[in-house]
Amino acid sequence: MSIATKQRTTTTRIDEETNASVKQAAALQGRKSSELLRDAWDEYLETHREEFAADLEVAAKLLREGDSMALAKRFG
Amino acid sequence: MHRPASLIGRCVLRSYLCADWELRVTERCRLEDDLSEVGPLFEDLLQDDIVAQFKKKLAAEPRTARDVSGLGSGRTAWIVQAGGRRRACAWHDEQREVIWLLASHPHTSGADDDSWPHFRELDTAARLFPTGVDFQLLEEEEPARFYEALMVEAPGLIAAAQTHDGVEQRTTLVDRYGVGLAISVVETTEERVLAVATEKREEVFRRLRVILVAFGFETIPEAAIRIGGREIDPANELGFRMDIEH
Repeated sequence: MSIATKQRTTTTRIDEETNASVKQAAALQGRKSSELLRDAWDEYLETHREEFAADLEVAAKLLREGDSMALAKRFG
Repeated sequence: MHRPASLIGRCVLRSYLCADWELRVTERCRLEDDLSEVGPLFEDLLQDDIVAQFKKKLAAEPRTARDVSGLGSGRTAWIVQAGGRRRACAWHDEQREVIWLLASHPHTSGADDDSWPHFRELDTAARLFPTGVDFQLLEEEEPARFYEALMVEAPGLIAAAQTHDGVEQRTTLVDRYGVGLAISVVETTEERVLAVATEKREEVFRRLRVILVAFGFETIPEAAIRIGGREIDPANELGFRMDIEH
């Protein structure tokens, strides 16, 4: 499966079942699979943005405090 | 491993960091050999004369002038001679880059329980040199040692990138993960691009958020496909970019 970007495309491996599901959903909407995946990815990022941001905030706080042990416990 | 100067001489959990190795005390030695009962951390163990002597003698050199003769295992344990009536010995574990304090024992020349025969008995019983529990603790403490080093190495690379506008500066973080950083400044905006090698994929992914923050990416970065005039290799690297306003 190729995901189109403005600059170039790249290949990402996904299982056949997911690929078929993406193609079906795209066909039902009359769109390309790549467009649907790009939108889905944007939605995913938006949904998880706060979660990512919170993790970065925790990491930043622990780094500022120089707490290597807490970092090890939290992030492994 | 050759640590940056600012990491040398730090105690991290059960270790004391030296330039090319770290100092640790085996669990058997800590628990059975009358070290100060202050807990397992190296910083606390330094209250003990023997551990202080161990640090003094083996922080800069991996061996002392004399070894314990006649060990059945054939390994070389170096004598850490302390003042007073105790003797101790240490072993340079070159594979793990650790010098272990192996044992400490009262010393009375010629007595039945003199330290040298005692060390040989421990060796015969396979109790002198570090065992599985020591190696397990060393492994478990690796993340804390990594973050301790990251806190020193990341600012160094940032400083280098800031003095070479737009030119990628590369290093291997803590001898583990390859990273490249390029910083370009346009008026009051600083563009930072970071490439992180994904060879050790699982470890890198787990620690990526901390690595990003260490390089100043404190908000969610954009994906980057180029750094300092080259393309980021999508099969083996992850690229991140963000603008920082000053």
